[in-house]
Amino acid sequence: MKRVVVCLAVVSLLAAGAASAAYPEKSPQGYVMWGAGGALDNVSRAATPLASQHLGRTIVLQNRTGATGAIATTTVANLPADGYSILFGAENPNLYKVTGISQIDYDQFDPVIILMANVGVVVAPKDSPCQTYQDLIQAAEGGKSIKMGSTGPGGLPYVATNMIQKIHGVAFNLVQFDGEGPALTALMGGHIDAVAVGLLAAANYINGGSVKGLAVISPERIGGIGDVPSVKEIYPGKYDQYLPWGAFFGVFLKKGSPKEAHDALQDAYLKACNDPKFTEFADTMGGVKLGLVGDAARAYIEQNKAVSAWLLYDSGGAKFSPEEFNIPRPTVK
Amino acid sequence: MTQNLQYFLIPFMDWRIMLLLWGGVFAGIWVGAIPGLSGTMAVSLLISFTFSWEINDALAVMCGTFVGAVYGGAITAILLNIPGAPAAIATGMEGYPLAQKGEAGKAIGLCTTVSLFAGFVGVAALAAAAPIIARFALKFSPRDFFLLAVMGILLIGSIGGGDPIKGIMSGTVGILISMIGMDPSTGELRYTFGSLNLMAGISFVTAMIGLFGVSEALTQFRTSGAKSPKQNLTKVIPDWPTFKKYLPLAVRSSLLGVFIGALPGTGGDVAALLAYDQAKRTTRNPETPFGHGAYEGLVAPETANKGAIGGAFIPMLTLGIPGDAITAIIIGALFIHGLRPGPMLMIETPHLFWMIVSMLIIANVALFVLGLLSVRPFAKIIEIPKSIIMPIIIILSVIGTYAIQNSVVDVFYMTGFGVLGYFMRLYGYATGPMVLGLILGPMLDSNYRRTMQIAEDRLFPFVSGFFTSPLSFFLTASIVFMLFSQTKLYRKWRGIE
Amino acid sequence: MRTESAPQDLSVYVPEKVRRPGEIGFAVLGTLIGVLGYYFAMGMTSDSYSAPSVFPKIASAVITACGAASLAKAIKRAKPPANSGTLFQFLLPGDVLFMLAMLVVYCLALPKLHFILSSYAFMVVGMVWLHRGKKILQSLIISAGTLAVLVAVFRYVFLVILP
Repeated sequence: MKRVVVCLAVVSLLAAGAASAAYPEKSPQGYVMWGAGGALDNVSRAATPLASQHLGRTIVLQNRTGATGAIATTTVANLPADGYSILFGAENPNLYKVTGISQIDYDQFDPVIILMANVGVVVAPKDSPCQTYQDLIQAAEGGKSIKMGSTGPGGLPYVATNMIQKIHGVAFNLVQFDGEGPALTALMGGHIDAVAVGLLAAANYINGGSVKGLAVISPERIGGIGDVPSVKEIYPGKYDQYLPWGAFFGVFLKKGSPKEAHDALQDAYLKACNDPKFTEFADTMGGVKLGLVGDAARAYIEQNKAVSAWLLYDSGGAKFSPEEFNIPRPTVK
Repeated sequence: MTQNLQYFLIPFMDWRIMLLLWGGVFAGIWVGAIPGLSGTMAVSLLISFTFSWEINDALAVMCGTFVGAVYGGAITAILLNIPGAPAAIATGMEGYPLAQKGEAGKAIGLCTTVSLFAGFVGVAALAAAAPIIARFALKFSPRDFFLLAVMGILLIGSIGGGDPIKGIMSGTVGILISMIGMDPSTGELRYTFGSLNLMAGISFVTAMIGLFGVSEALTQFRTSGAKSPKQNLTKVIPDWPTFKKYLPLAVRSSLLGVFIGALPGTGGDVAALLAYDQAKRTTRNPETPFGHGAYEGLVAPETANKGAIGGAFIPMLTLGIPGDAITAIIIGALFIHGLRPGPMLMIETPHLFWMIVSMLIIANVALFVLGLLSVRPFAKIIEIPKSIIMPIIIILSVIGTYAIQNSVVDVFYMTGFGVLGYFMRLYGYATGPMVLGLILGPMLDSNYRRTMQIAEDRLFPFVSGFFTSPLSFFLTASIVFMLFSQTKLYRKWRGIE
Repeated sequence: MRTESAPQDLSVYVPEKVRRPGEIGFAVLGTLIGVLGYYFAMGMTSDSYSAPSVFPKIASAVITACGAASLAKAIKRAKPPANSGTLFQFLLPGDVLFMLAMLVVYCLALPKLHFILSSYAFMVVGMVWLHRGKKILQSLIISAGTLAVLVAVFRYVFLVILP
């Protein structure tokens, strides 16, 4: 029965959409920059059917993976700016210029909406000798070799680990994985000692007790995992320069796309973002719902870019200085 | 317990779930059979499609598609020598020669029957021992995954055909090609020469379609006057003695499949390849030699990849860790439907576990029935004259490659691999090892490096790890034995040949 | 090639006595891939045992060694018989050459003429050529039917936007 209602709703919306607005005349194409089953893919596939209902047309999603999303970014940047090619992106393009991967990043795009943020969380195996975040840092300061999971330069685990190393002046033994999921799996098997990952990947494991959350890399505690302290509580003042920082998931259009299309999509995705179904999804995933549009979205992206780019550069992971691209060094606010 | 039984029976009672399962299997068979279309792709499309459905209905159609797609890959592998999915590469090694002899019907019939059996083994393992197997799977360290990949690479000896040196060369070129692109763990660009397209790397499915499909078609054009083989379609379902003959092998291979499937990150493809190798090493006197249509070489990979389905659900349902690509997407679907797929899933929502178990049982039965019904029409495909079927195969390869990620560049790569494969065949270099290298190359590389990083880049801890960890020691010993069993000394001692 | 000869256990290898035309050239090419692979791997980070360059170097070295061994074996074999035709005839007999040329033209035409038109042309021309100019009507119909099914499945069921 419910399905029939939804179908009818879609049909009536289709009719209404066709009558009122010129956009969209056909199904827009969405390019997701990470693979199926990943966090960005899940967020995109949760929000898009809701947005499609409001838009009156199905947005067809496809995964265009490779080169930490540079393939999808370049693909969309090379397509006409007609509002029918939508980029579903994460934070990665913010580092393309300093790592030399590509010259095309979010400067060539307008954010339609930033749907969700993903904060970092440091986790350890449940039977780890490090029961608190202090234990971990002290062990590292004491010169103990800590096997810390990581990913390629630019990934959340990599930047977060560098942030910790820089702030506390410690050095971990980095073990590199292809993604957050494999790193967490290795952590549960006891093959590494700790890893900093996005909360979206770890929330369920923390709540289920198969890993131990030591600290969230955020100014305050996060709703879904209230028991895990924030780094600001544990080390007041030390992290202020870099926070708030995390991964994010957003919807983007190429610069110069028709305003009509931008507004229609923004409207549809805002409604989707405020839909109770999406809110519930964000809560179960452990993500922080943002729903930022316009200048707020741009400011959020720039802050993230400044922190990540400078951290990467200071740790030697970047090929080019952020100064070359006029990225300001983050300061204490 | 009675509660669980009730959950278990829900899908049997609900005609809608039944219908969706059967529909999913039917669609899955086609998805699996068409090269380029994969179960992964179909299930991720289903997420949007089933967004507003109830979770049970959505799961039913996803499970059905999963099971169907794993099976479908074998059909094109047997009929056309283009594995519809990587898990069917080994199947094609034996199935295609059988089809050329007119035994395609018998081959598909046997695959279908043993698939049902293996599917049940997988589900039984899932229902009975999921937590134990999952805990065991977590014990696999990067070093053990590296050793598994090495075991897989040894398969070159089995599928290399002809000159072993040429086989090794073909395999290592595959490994080298798999290095192209951005290294996923350090971001370093390898062999990209500044090209953004190369940064994305070359998908092994693209290479597989070219090396098997197009190069096969090109080779066939050398003898385009030849008639297509007439197919014998009597006795499609194997009789009891036949089934009994392959039963021990089916048991071994499906259990191997369950374990490999349960390991996070390895799925049906690796399981099928290892099982094929294992069958080739242990079968004393096959009726037909391997490489020319040995039924043992069909049974082993087909049971392993079906067992791997149940296996892949084990870490997913007990720990929330995906066992392979498709279960990763199903986890995403559960999130979107407001569930928490994690270690608490079985405690918070036990009905989900038992429903998936029964859905997989129904899907396997559906697979058996639909599979057998389609043997005849499918087998007729190869009786189509070559002058008609070959251009169609090429177009199918093109559209299939394009569909992987809507990229024309992939079509160029695929054509390139087709031409390369054609020349390789002319000079006696088998194409199978190259695909094997492409699949296993990243697994070898990244797990070797991870092991080295855990050993802090020092040689001694790296080497000693192979002997101090019991699991690694067992795997190392198996590899040494596998190598030793190829020597003349061993064959003489066991009286082989 | 797998189509020829009686059943034989492929794990027992019987070396060919006679060299195929161009076999030496192919082995040289293979060796070259190994050498080039190693050369470019030297440009990658190689500061530790876990560096990204380790596997490319190992693989390239193995390829070079196998290539050299194949080359040595090929040279030792007897020359191809005089009646085996030219290298070109061996590599690309009429049908293969034609279909390969068609395939290249098809790939180049794909982005411009789009999928449906270029594929239809490819199938019809391919079938008519292989039928030696006969059964033109049959080719036209079968190609149209196949294409309709493919487009329906890929475009409308799998939502693949065709080129």
